[in-house]
Order: sequence, then structure tokens, then C-alpha cells
Amino acid sequence: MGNVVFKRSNGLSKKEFSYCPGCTHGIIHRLVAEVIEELGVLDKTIGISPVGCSVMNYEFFNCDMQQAAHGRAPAVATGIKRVRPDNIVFSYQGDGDLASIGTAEIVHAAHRSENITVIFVNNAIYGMTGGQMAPTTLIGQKTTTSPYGRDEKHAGKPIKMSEMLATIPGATYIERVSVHDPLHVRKAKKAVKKAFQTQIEGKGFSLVEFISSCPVNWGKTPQDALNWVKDNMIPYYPLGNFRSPEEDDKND
Amino acid sequence: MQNKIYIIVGHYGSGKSEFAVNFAKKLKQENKEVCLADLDIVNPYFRSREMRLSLIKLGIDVISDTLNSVKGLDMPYLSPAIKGQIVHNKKNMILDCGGDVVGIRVLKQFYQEIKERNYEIYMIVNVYRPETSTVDKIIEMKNKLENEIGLSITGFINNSNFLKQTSIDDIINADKLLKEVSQKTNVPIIYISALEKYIKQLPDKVSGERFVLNLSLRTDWL
Amino acid sequence: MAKVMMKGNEAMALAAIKGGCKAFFGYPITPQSELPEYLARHMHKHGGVFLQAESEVAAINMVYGASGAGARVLTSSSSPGIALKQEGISYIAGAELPAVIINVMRGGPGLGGIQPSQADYKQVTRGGGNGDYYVLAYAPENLQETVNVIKEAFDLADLYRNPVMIAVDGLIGQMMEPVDLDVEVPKRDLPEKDWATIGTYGKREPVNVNSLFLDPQDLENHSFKLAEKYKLMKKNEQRYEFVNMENAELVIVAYGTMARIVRSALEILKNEGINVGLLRPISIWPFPEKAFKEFPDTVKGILTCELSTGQMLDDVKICNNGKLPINFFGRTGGMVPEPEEIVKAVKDMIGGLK
Repeated sequence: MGNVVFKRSNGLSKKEFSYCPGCTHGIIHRLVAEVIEELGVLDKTIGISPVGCSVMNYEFFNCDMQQAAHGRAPAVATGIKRVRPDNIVFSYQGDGDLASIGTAEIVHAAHRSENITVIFVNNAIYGMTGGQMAPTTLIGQKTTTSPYGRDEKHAGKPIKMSEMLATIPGATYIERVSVHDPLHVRKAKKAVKKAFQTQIEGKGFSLVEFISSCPVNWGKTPQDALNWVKDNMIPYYPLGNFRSPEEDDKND
Repeated sequence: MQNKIYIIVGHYGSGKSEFAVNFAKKLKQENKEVCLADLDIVNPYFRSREMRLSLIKLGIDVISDTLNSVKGLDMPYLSPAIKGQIVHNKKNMILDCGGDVVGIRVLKQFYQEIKERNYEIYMIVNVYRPETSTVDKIIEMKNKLENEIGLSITGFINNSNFLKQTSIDDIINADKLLKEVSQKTNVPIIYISALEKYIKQLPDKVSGERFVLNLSLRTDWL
Repeated sequence: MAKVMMKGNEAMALAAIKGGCKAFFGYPITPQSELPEYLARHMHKHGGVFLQAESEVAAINMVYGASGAGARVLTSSSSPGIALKQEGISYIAGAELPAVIINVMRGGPGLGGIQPSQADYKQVTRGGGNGDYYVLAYAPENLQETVNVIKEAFDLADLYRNPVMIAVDGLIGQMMEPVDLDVEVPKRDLPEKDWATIGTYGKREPVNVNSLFLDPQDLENHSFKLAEKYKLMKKNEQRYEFVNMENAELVIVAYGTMARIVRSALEILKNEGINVGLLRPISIWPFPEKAFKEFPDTVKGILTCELSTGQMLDDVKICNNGKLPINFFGRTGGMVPEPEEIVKAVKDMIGGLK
């Protein structure tokens, strides 16, 4: 028998992912799971599932989980963290959940600098409910509720959550990443690790925004969808760091 | 005789508004001109402004908010007429404040004008309120109130009661406690206020002028 | 602790601490704001958490999270704020989490007013949240009863893994009354919270706090399981008081502050030789339907009195099942009647029956 070169992270359950072909939720779940395992905090982590395609991710993460109402995950995370400050708490939310119905909750969780980690998955569309326009849908992008393409005069311009949240004094660590190729997957993992480390060190609110894809609702092959992330999403949603604890340390 | 300002302060729920309303009536009965200003912007219920109509009938002015509300106003809307009355000095004024430090914060804006007038600051005490239940706690509350307004309390009103469940012993015990506070702080006990049936039974040793309280904000069935 | 004079809102806050409450999440609203203010001053001294949320919606979801993590949690609000919390209450009931919710009721609909009201009866007993669920709901009439029921509520919530709501009108929140915080209340045998998300610590499989059941068969099973629980509450938790029922020719059904006014009306009527009884529901869900089977034969009619335009009236009609004539007397919008108005309503009804 040869050496094991690749295995399922202990941070994941044995249940197979139920996501569509080419959906990046699977990659992102794995990155979060690997980081939690590698940091040695899996057995004290409590995750929060959102409403959206990842609503059932409590099936996939191998830790205690709570399922939250649409958009309310940061409030649920706050409730948990305030009564169990020694546990590691993360929420996992999509762009409908976080950038639309849950804007108040995410803004105020950042504003209070809740010592939690938020994994924000932005694929510019409502995947679960059938491909409706999200606040993050790009200009001209066709969805079931923007059938002629998003018109900024009608629906405004796509919201940039990381930039917005980075303006909040309480936000400690904010970074936007992508998983459209292996190089970026590795960079993304570093960001996730940094986010959880920020929490472990008690430094406050951390969020990693993933630019993600939705081949089925975009009407593209998985590879075309990843190309569309690179060619259309990333130019509008630039990758990089928007807030870091080091920067805050410098300003103190 | 010079008009006076009587400022009624204390822990919230100590009976300030019931006392203020009764005190306004008492001054009026002594043929004095009286204006009652309700400065309570903290409490939404049981405020002296609820007695506006019946007090006006007795010839007592009532000022509170800019809408002259009786019940139901949630907004502060402090009437500018309050400062007018303080400055014009045409009447005796009773300033019925909200409870605790928060309740008297509103007085700060009248600080200069009050200082220039003849005033009394009465602190109402019900020793059966948990936060004014010991000598130390009462003194602590007094100090906090004085720090907030920058003026000294000139007298205590002993309004200790358990409403309908009060016994004479309750009042006598409260008197002992407040006497000790009075000795330690050198602030006199001005009145002992209670329902008529209790006032009639009070022994001579209890400090403070007897003050009969007729409850008007709290209805009989409550 | 001996008897003290306390304001309703602060007594409720202290009662929660005495009931073992370890976390409070809320948002300011008149006429209940003294309750969070009190907890802001005192909660930390008892090792508890106080947090002012950005909204009622967030507050109730913080309750969900903290309760799901095993803590005894409280939130409080007043009518429009409770309306905002209904989504979270439905999730809490669905995920079978314990929580205590205090509703200091004011007039509505909409922004309504800030004076006392019982116009939330249906919001409390039927809920505004989605799905087949109920909350245990108590409507005490004085501070001592309120304090006792709040202390007990944390046990009840844990026992049934269900939200418990205490519904008092603004008057009970705002008034002063003598109260003893240390009166013993019944303790329940509580199972361990093995469902709480506190981390596995390598000792057990992960647990999940959840109200999602996508398979309709699973959701039906879950709903029937909840229904069995509600049946048990109906059997065991009906609470009510009878006053002056012997030889009563009329029964008044009234709760909370309205019941206090009715008590005074009964005294006036007694002095005039008119015998009227009072059925005072203390639990409004489950509604005390048992009590209707205990009316003496002398009772010829029922007068329902509420600080609303008639909400509990529907429950009275269901329990009466067409047997006796029913009249209604109500004041609303924050208007509180004098006992004489109830005396008149009684006389009008008795006159009509003859």
C-alpha cells in the first residue's frame, strides 16, 4: 500500500456533498473544515448554517451546528459567542443572506466587533430560490428577476460588502478571495486561517468573502463559470485585504 | 414673601409625583400662587401631568411638554415655558423631576437660573425601595443626585410605604433609618408623608411635619 | 430577601435573574425599557450577559443562538417589538429551544400608543410566526404573581423545550407594588440539555439545532411530535383562579389588570346584593377550558372583559360551546375603565337576561 496523499478532512462529515457540478461551495466547505482541523479547534467549534444553497451544511461540517433564519446568522452567532466565549463560532452565509436580508445583522456584528468568523459566499445570484437577482448581481447580468439584464437605474449598482464592512471601526479582519484556480484556492485557505486565528486570539470580527460561481443558474459549464468569475466578477469585486489586525495594531 | 422653587428629586418609584401633586395643592390652600412643572421625561406612566385638568381647576398652573399632554406622550418635548417661569419668578414653583440621576439630568439647563433664586431641593425616600433600603444606600443616592445637579439637597421627605400593605411599624422603622441619615448628612427631615389613616396613628417621636397624602395618580382599584 | 417596593419592570428583571437567567438580548421600547436598564446594571454581577441588540429581530435570534448553546435566556419587549420577534419565536419553537419572552403590552395596531393594553392576546396565544406551534403564555395580575411566574417560566421552558411568554399590560410594568422575590416556586425535574451546541470536545457526535425538515414525512412527524407536547401542556399547565363563584348568577372572564378592576366591581355589586363571579385565566395559552366545566348551575351568562375590542372573547366562545349567553365589555387604545363601568355592563346583561 502506498502513502495517503489526500484524504477527507476531519472537519467534514462522511456525508457526500449535495451541491451541483462546478459549484464552489464544496471547495469552500473543505477549506473551512481543513483550517478548523489544522488549528486544533474542531471539537470546540460551533457553526451556523444560513438560508440558501448551503442551508444544509450542518450535514457536512463535523462539528456542532445551528441552522439560522434567513440573514440572522450573525445574530445567532452573537448569542452563542456571548454565552460561550471559549468556543469558536463561525457563520457561513450567501449573498442573499448576508448582503440583502441580513445587512443589519452583519453590519452590527462587525460594529460590535463580535469575536466570530464569517464565511461569506458571493455568487451574484439567488441559487436556492431559482436564480433571482441578488444585490451583488452584476450590471447587465440576466436573472429570473432581471430578465433584461440588471439595469442600474432600476436596481442600483451591485453592493460591495467587504469594502462597506471595512469602513466599520469594529471590523478587524476583512479579505476577499476566489477559488477559480488552484493558486487562488491556496490563497483563500490562508485567508480563512487568518480569520479563525483572529478569533482565536480574541481580536474581534473577521470575515472572508469568497467570489463564487453558480453554473446552473448562470447557464454555463463549470469551467466557463470559473472563467466568468475571473473575467467579470473579480474586476468588479477586487480580491485582497480590506482590514487586518496588524493595521489596527499600528493605529493603536 | 419671596416665591420659592421646590425641586422634588429621588429614586424612581419613591413617590415624587404623588408628593408633588399633593404639595402643589397644599401651597395653593395657603393662598400661594403655584406652578407645577413636570420634568419627568423618563417615565411614561404615573406622571403629575396626568393631573393637569384637575389642578388647573384649582388654579394651579401645570407645565410639562410642548403639547400639554395628559397621558400617552413618549417624547421628551420639554416646554420652554418652564424656564420662563423660573426666570420670571412670579409664582412658587414645584419642579417634579424624573427618578434617579437620569431623571434630574434635565435640571442642568436651568442650573444658573435656579441658583439665583430661593430654592429647596427635597429628596423623597421610600426606604422599602431596594436601592434606598439602608443608610449607606440613601447617602450614596443623595451624593449621586447632588453631583449630577451641582446643588445640595436641603431636606428629606420620608415617604416610606408598602402602599395598602403598610403598617405603622414600617413607618416607625423607616423613621429610625432616615434619622440616622439626617444626622450623618446634616440634612433635616422636612415631612413625613403618608395616607391619612397612617398619619393619624403616628407617634410623636417620628421626625418631620405630618403631611397627608391623597393618592391621585394611582386609582383605588390598583 | 424580605418584601420590597419595586416597579413592575425592574421586579420582572430581578425575577429573571433569580430564575437563573444567564443572558438577556433586547431592544428598547416603551413601556418596558426599565427592564433592560435594570439588567444592564445588574446582570454582570450574577455572571450573566446583557446585550442591547440592533433590533428586535436580531435580539430574538441572539436568544435562539444562546439558548441553542444551552444558556437560560430572556428577551423582553412591547407589542410592536414582539411582532418583530415572531419570526424568531417560530424558529425557536420549531428547533425546540427554551426561551422566556416578556411582553409588556401597549396599544396597537401599528405604532399604536404607549398606554396599557391587552390587544396582543391573539399575537401571544396564536402567534404571528409561521407553522404549527404554540407558546406557553401567562398573564399575571399583580407583581407577586408576575415575579413567581417568571421564576417558574425558565423551568417550564427547559421542561418543554418551548418558548414561554409572560404577557402583562404596561400598567403592571410601570406600577409600584410590594413584592417578595424569594417566594418558593415549584421546581421541575429537568432533563440534561444533551441537544445544546457547546462543542463536542471529543466526547460525543456533533449536534445540530434546526427547524428545517425538507422531507414532508419528516416534517409531519416533527409537527405531530410538537402537537403531542402541546397536548401535554394543555393537560398539565392550565392555570386559573375563581373568585366569588358560589351562587354567582353571572361569571366575568377577565385577566391581568382587567381582572383587578373586576375585583373592585365585584365588591360594589356584592354590596348591592348582586352575586357575580370571576374566572381569571392565569395561563392564556393553554386557555383554562377546564374551568368552564366547573361553573355552578346558578350561572346564567358570561361577561368577557378585556382591554381590547374582544380577543379572548373567541376562546370564551369556544369553551362555552353555545351553552350560555355571552356579552363583552372592553376598553382599548390605552383607556382603562373604572369599576363602575363594569358594574353597569353587568347590570345591563342581567337586565337583558330577565
